[in-house]
Amino acid sequence: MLHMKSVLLAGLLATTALPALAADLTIGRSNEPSSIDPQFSRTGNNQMTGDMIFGRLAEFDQNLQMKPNLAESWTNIDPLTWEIKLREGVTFHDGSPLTVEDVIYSIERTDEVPNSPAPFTDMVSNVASLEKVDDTTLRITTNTPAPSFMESIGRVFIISKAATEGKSSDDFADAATGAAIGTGPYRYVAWTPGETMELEAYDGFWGEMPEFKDVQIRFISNDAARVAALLSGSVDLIDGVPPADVPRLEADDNYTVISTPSGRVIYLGLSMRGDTAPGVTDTAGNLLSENPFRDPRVRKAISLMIDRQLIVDRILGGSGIPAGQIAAPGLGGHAEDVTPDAPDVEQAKALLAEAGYPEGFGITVSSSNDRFPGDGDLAQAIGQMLARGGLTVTGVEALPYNVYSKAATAGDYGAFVFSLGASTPTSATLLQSLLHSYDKEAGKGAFNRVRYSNPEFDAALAEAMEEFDPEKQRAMLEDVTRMVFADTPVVPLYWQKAHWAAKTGLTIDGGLSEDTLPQAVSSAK
Amino acid sequence: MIALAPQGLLARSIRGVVASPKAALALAICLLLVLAAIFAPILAPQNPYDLMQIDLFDGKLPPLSRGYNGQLYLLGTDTQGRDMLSAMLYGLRTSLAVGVTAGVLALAVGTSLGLLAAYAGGRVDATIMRFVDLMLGFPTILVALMILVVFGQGTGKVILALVFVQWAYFARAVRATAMVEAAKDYVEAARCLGLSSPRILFGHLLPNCLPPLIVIGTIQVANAIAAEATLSFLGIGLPITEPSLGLLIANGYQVLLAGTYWMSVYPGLLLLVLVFAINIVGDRLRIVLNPRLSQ
Repeated sequence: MLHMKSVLLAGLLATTALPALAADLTIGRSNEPSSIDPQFSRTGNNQMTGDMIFGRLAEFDQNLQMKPNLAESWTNIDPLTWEIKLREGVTFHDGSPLTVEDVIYSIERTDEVPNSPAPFTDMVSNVASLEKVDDTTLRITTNTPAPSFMESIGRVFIISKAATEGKSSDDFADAATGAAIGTGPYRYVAWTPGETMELEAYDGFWGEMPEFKDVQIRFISNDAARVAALLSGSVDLIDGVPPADVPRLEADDNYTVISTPSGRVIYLGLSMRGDTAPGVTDTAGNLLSENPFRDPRVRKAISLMIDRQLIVDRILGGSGIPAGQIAAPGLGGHAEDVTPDAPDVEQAKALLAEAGYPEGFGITVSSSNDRFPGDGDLAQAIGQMLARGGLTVTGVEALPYNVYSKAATAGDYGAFVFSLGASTPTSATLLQSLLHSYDKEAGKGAFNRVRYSNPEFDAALAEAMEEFDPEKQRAMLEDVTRMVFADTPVVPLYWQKAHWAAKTGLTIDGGLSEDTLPQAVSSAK
Repeated sequence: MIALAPQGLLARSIRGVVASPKAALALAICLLLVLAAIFAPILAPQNPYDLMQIDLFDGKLPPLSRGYNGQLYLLGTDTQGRDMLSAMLYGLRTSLAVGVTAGVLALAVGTSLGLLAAYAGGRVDATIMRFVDLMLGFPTILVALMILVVFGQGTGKVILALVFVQWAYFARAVRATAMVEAAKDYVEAARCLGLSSPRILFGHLLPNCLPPLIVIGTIQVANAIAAEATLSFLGIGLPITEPSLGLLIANGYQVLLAGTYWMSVYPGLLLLVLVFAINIVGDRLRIVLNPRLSQ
């Protein structure tokens, strides 16, 4: 009965309190996690949410360079053996101390989460054995020499063994189960899917305490509605500011716009998965009996049809940098001389004719409509360009991301717009997850939705990833990029610039990873 | 009471509507918009569905600007460089086609079931009418949303969803009228002559139930257009490359705060005028065709 009463009271409070007053900081966020279990899915939405509540062995700064987090230090004893020293005095949100057992448990659980749409498999696939040396030391051996091993293993979210053993991913969302306790700066309070998430700063946090204690995150996927929420004062800060609204907000003294170049690349995937490609038809509208995207000339032709600068200027209002490869400038392995294809419709048509499609073919362009600024418009613009390039565009479809990403991962689309965010210091993991031959067992090619496969590239990338000398490794990664992009494995479009907008007086430390973390928000100095 | 000849009914309706200057103007606007929709391919400066004809270079131009190739954009362009005037004419076509098709289909389904309920009575009547009550109890958009979520998107599915949420209005109105008519002597006479049930239903009962049907039909077409616009605005209606008025409004709304008002405001005004005009005509018909008011 008492419980009933408190529920009623809470409900009453929730309806009477004004949203902006209910928390010290209210953030309007464009995307939403699919689970509170940080190991459920490695999509950016989920990892960003995980970073508020949970800790990892290593963390990555604004320029994606690695720093110690829950691991105080690590040493590479021999090419296959790593020794990791845990930070002392770290506690979970229930007050229990972080132990080596929790870390071992977390690493073992990472690739075993049931129904994970995007598992963290390749972060732990190289682990051969895990061994507790003493109360704060962990020894890990790997299957192959991996110089960047800490970049992978350091990314595993550490959860409490005692609190989560035997619990499902869904249990994390219910704060009453106590599963969602981490070592991060914020304690998980509640999540109402599609609406809000409540967080509270954890007093026992080992690191620097965040400035704002009670934080409410509101999920507002509609761009205009999110901007309107900021203008109406119901949120203090928003992410994913549509480029079209940037000039207007910058001109207004009541708001500040914070912009950074982002490591996120937007690309057009051309599915090579099946003997036929979904939506790819002959000019009469019947499904084509072969898959034209398996021919590199066709992929190159499509790349040549696209005017990247025009997309950046017209759709993004300048908030992008045309891309000809995956890794953004500034990341290790970015090859300066791999430039984006300049639009050349004549050459595109010649390549199509050479590949046996002088009349072109029918194509459907698919895209999300709420994942990144202008994604729905982008698909239509690509449709225009492909039509001018001699293809018959039979459809352009733009769907909500949660529907779209599942279908894209399942291979339902022939030509589809997708994005890949950078979270490592070099291009190695980007190349491996996006372009390495799909290998579920080895955890490679996890995001290779187009199922590009090039053994020569796989071998060269593996060799580069085993190089311990950072300088040499970067040079090797550049060579790998040169080799693979000559084959147009996907069609890179542009790198984003990310924009946040806040009430004047607030600022956020954003970076290449584009995360919107409450602990990165502070009063402007 | 003698069954009215349909021609007589039509003439009476038109005469009645024209008699009111306000309704006459609304009717003229409706006719004009229908003609504009029918002849959209001839009237529109551009085919907005043809990706070859729209050019990203001309995106977001305000009204009365000239494009890259010198063509005039009377009402400006959208983000994709689509001529707003052309997009609105084609959007009007889509909106009207969906609205009228859904309205007519709902009328056919609802009328048949309503007549059947009135004529058969008893358990058949009770079953049909409880189902009608159930349908009328649900919020229209919610039901339509659920249908679209289950069956997926597309023009055909939007029409299906609209028919599903609208037939009950017709069924209820027809049943009420038909119950009154079925008790009259001419139906008794027809039964005595040994005419078949379908012939009595459709040959004798139906013509006498037409006046309220015309009124509801008109208003439901307007409702269907508005409902389709709502569904498209929510992003689950028609495909994005073939925008209806609702989808045009939704697309423009995304950039409304950035100051490009024309992408959303003009289609919104057109939708407003269309729905308003149909409603005024419907309202006038209700007065003209109401036996209690006219006789």
